[in-house]
Amino acid sequence: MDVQERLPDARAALRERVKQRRRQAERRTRNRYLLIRALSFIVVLGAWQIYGASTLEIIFTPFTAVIAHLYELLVSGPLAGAILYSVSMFLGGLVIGSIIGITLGVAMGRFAVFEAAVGMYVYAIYSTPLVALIPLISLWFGFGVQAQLIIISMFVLFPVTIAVYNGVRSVDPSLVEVARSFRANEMAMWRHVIIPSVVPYIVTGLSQGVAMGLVGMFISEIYTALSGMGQILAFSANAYKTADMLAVLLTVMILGGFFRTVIEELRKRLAPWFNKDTGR
Amino acid sequence: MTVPTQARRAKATASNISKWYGDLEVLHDVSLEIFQHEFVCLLGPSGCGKTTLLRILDGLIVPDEGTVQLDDKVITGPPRQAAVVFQQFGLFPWKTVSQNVAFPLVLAGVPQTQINEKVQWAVELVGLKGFEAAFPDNLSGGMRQRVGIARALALGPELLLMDEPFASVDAYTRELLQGELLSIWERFRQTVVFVTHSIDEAITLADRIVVMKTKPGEVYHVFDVPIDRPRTVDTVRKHPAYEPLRETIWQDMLKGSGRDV
Repeated sequence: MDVQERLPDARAALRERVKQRRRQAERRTRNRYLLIRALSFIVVLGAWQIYGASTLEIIFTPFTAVIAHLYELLVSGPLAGAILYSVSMFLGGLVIGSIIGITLGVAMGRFAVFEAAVGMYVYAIYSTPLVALIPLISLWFGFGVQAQLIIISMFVLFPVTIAVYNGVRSVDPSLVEVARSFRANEMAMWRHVIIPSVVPYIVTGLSQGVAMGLVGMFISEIYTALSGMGQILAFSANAYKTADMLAVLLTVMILGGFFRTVIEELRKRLAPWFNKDTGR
Repeated sequence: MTVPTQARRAKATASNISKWYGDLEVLHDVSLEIFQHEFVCLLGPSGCGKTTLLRILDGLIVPDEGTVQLDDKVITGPPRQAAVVFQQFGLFPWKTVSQNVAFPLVLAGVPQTQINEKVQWAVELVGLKGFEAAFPDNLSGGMRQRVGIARALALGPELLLMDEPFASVDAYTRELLQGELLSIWERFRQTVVFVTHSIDEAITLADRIVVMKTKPGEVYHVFDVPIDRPRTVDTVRKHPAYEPLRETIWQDMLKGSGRDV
């Protein structure tokens, strides 16, 4: 073989080496961040453990004690039932709030007349602390499941509405023109242009809705009839059972993280083109 | 391959078009005949209303005065026979290359098997084979506009309206795309109206160049390009008629934009 013929081989080998080196570098970076996370986790939990062990039980309890209480509450205590109740209420409120919010946001964004008629109330209620409305809701709907669902839905409703409204307003007019130029009717316009542009905004609204819905869940359970995880939190707080309180808080954190992951997966599934960094 | 004058049939006719944006008259009494199988460039500086005129030809904008006829029928909206290539590509970021190209076919209700065939044909025609599943955001500007061109060609339009299609790509890619457009067009000979502000581009591509003047936008002068086809970017530049025509049009544009020369 002469040099000319061997050149492609050499080049392919070089390309392979470069690729391999890049993969190694990526793996190293990934491992480094994993290590940092693990270290940070150990430091925080360690601090928690040490501080918890060194102070009064009603101020703070060690991490291991919290885990033990969590296990206790789950297996022989009321926590499993409470999680089931709270999560069902939360999901119910999330669904109701999202459906109303998406509808309201789309209608406000697409129909100027509707926005003119309704927009100001949406903004007015959005800027009111919803907690302040709870006495009124209790007055009208009592302290039961119905009132709780309404409260959670309202917490979900507004962030979703606002996000979807912004999404519909920011549909690229040049893409609307493209669709018009290819003779799209109103149905095709929705299917090919408006809905796909709004989907990422809906997902953003939903992830805010999830965060607000969890707030609404606790508030509804504490400010109406004591129930679900809110009840355990309130009881353990009144009884100075700090470990139980922390166990409930830990559960909510895990739940919140879980729902956020679900929403993020949903975004990847529904809007694979959408890049969080570039906003499109 | 020139068609004798008497056999020329008007494909699109703009008659006495005027358009105002508020107090600004963008187009003033523009009349223009585009003949069948002709490649016409609308050439003028920014603000001469050439893009507005193109949108009026597609029925996207309704003129305040005047009408557009396509095949002797007055248009009232985007016609089925016309397709537009947009300056900013106008691709849907949520659609893949194939789905973007298929868009007009889907809207026109073409059966799915035919859609696949036509998309494949158009994608190969513009040299994007292998990129069918890519999203526009992962393509270069030149490749995006290839998608835009494939999309416009997929339905087999009789009138192709191109709005500064190569203004958003780099100079090197622009020349490549000009060459590819030349060879595609010389195969199919759709009627083309091509908006540009580049004299070179106009001479390279067009049979006729319509120079527009500004404030308000009007048809100023029309020039025939006496360069035989098939052309390439290179043969056009080296053609003896190229430099004189370029100079004439340059002077004309200067005069048209109100500068004394």
